[in-house]
Amino acid sequence: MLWLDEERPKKLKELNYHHDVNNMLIRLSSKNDFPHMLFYGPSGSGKKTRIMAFLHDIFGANVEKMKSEMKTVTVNRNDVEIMMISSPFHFEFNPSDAGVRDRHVVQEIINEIATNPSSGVQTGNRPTFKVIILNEADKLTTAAQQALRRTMESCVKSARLILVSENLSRVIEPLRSRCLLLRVPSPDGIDVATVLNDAAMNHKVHLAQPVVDRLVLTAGGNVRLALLLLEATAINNNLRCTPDTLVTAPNWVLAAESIGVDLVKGPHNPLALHRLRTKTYELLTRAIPPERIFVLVLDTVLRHGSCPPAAKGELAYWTAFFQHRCALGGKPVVHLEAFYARVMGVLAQYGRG
Amino acid sequence: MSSAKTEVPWTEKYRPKDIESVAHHEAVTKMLRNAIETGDMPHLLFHGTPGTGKTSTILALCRDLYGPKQMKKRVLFLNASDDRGIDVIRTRVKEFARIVVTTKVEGYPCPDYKFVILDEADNITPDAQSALRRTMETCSKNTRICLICNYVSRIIDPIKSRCAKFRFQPIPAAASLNTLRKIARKESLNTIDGTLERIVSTSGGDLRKAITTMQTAFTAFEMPGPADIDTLVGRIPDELVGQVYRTISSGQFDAAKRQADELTKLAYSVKQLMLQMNEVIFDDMLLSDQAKAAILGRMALVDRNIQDGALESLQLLDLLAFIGYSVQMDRGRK
Ligand SMILES: Nc1ncnc2c1ncn2[C@@H]1O[C@H](COP(=O)(O)OP(=O)(O)OP(=O)(O)O)[C@@H](O)[C@H]1O
Ligand SMILES: [Mg+2]
Repeated sequence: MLWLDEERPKKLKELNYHHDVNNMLIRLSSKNDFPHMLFYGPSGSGKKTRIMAFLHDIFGANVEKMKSEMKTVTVNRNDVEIMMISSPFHFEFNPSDAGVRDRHVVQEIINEIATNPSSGVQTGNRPTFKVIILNEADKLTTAAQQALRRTMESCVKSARLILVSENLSRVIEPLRSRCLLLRVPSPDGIDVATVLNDAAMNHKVHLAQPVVDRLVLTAGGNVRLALLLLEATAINNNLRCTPDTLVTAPNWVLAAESIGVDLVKGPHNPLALHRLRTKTYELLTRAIPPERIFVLVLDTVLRHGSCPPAAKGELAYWTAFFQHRCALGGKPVVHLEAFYARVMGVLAQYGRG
Repeated sequence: MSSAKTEVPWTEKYRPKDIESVAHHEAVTKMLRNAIETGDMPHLLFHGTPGTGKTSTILALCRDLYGPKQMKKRVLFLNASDDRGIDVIRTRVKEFARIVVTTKVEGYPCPDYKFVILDEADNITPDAQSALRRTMETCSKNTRICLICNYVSRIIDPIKSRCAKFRFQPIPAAASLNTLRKIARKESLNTIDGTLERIVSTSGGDLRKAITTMQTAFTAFEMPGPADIDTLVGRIPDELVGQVYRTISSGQFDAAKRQADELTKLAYSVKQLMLQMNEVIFDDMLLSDQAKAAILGRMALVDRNIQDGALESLQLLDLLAFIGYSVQMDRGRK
């Protein structure tokens, strides 16, 4: 088991930051009833941990008795396989696994769950509805999101949906209207450090303060990443992290950053642009979302000592511009390269001036 | 709550049962009442923002017309979770329109026409809409169509021109407050001053959202006050918005970048930020009208881009840098 999973707090009371949200969840959980919910916030900020702890407090430890299975849904005579995790009380899946058929798959699964009388062991005063967690709700196609509208209204007696999303604005307005929105911010450095120190203690790791700082900096508020990095760093150094132990960012981050460095350093010509293509393809084939590449490249360029301060506003503008284009469709590599070319242009212009 | 029974949420519990209880939309309800009396019902097109009563109104109308029992036979209700491709429109809707029903129910007008409701119609393809248009022509003797959508621009012109159109505006504060008060009375809630008002002012005319917020607030807090509502709905603290504005006004790009990173970590929605930033900028007496106009223009652009699916953090950085730059240039000019 990854340290990350071992360290995951099981109950709401054990959660160690964002007490506003936690307290509200605690109060809601004591009432055994809640509306459809949408948890939003950056990657690794603790959305999923809160959801599971919330369910734990309502339904008891049995929500952790999870099994995962491949579920086959037939859409127009095509079989779509989807990985489904379930406990006696809840179901969880990533609708985006179904690709363009997500609408049918989501409908099929929700209808099945909502119409089957609950099979969970009903003891005490637990709610009678089932909980359905939809991960990456922002990746659902518009058609699938639209289809959820009436479904959410009509299934509400037998099922409650919990949507999880990094980007609030990518969930269509009618769905936001049907959910209680819960914001889960990234924890700040001190909170991440606390999580790391606790984990280090539990795993008997000697962790010097400078290493904590490095981990916090590299993970940037992503607790999941912070714990993964801690585990990797600790194991590589035989559980002894001394003040000069280095922390290496994930490979793909380094690769994206190196594109940024190349852009600043120049030369600014078509050949240099062409050389970046291999790196870009490598990132894209590893399924790194293009938007992450835009962000990392921009951040690297802005941070670099030789980036002219006067150019920064324009660089930010063009990054936003091309990422928007990229989101509208087409091949990401085209938009990324147009973006690189523009960055080169802007830098060349300000460099000379 | 002591038993395992789960209640339906208030949004469903208090969904208007007849058109009389639909809040605010007098023009629509008056016209519908009139149409029931005269028996002269046009095809209908309802459009407007979420949670304003479109689905409720048509369901209430059908209940008023046919009564809860006959409704199932007389109304074909299709929403975005049903297949509504061209074939479905051609066959299913047509089949339904062909059947003649004349059963009358005591106490209900039960006119000879039936209703086909296409709710959540934003995604029906233009081709399917064209097919629908022909159905509308051939079956209008005994069938009325009601289309419901958020954006009227998604509906093709020939259909629009055959329907009586109604825009469901965001519900004004007074009407929303009225509805919340009624529910509060029925649920015997202990409300303190300002709480319901705050729920309404943060719901942006979406009554469904207002009701959900109210129910959650009274579940999660003993006696929720306005500040609890702010936490619940993710309103950004006003001090924070003010502080962001002051910091970026230096015109330094790095200041804008720091603020953008901070806001992104806090996960506040950029649309919410723009809403509140708008007020701050409006109130800045030192800022020229031209600068204000330029900033509003940029906000509109950012809003559109985000709607298209652009990454919020990049749009936010661009916006803050632009605002900072504009304010700085403007101050320098004087
Ligand atoms: N005008 C209204 N009068 C009374 N209640 C309303 C009104 N509008 C909305 N509501 C409340 O909000 C809930 C949702 O309303 P409704 O389903 O009619 O919204 P809608 O306009 O169809 O929204 P969407 O575009 O998201 O489908 C209702 O169940 C009711 O509780
Ligand atoms: Mg509706």
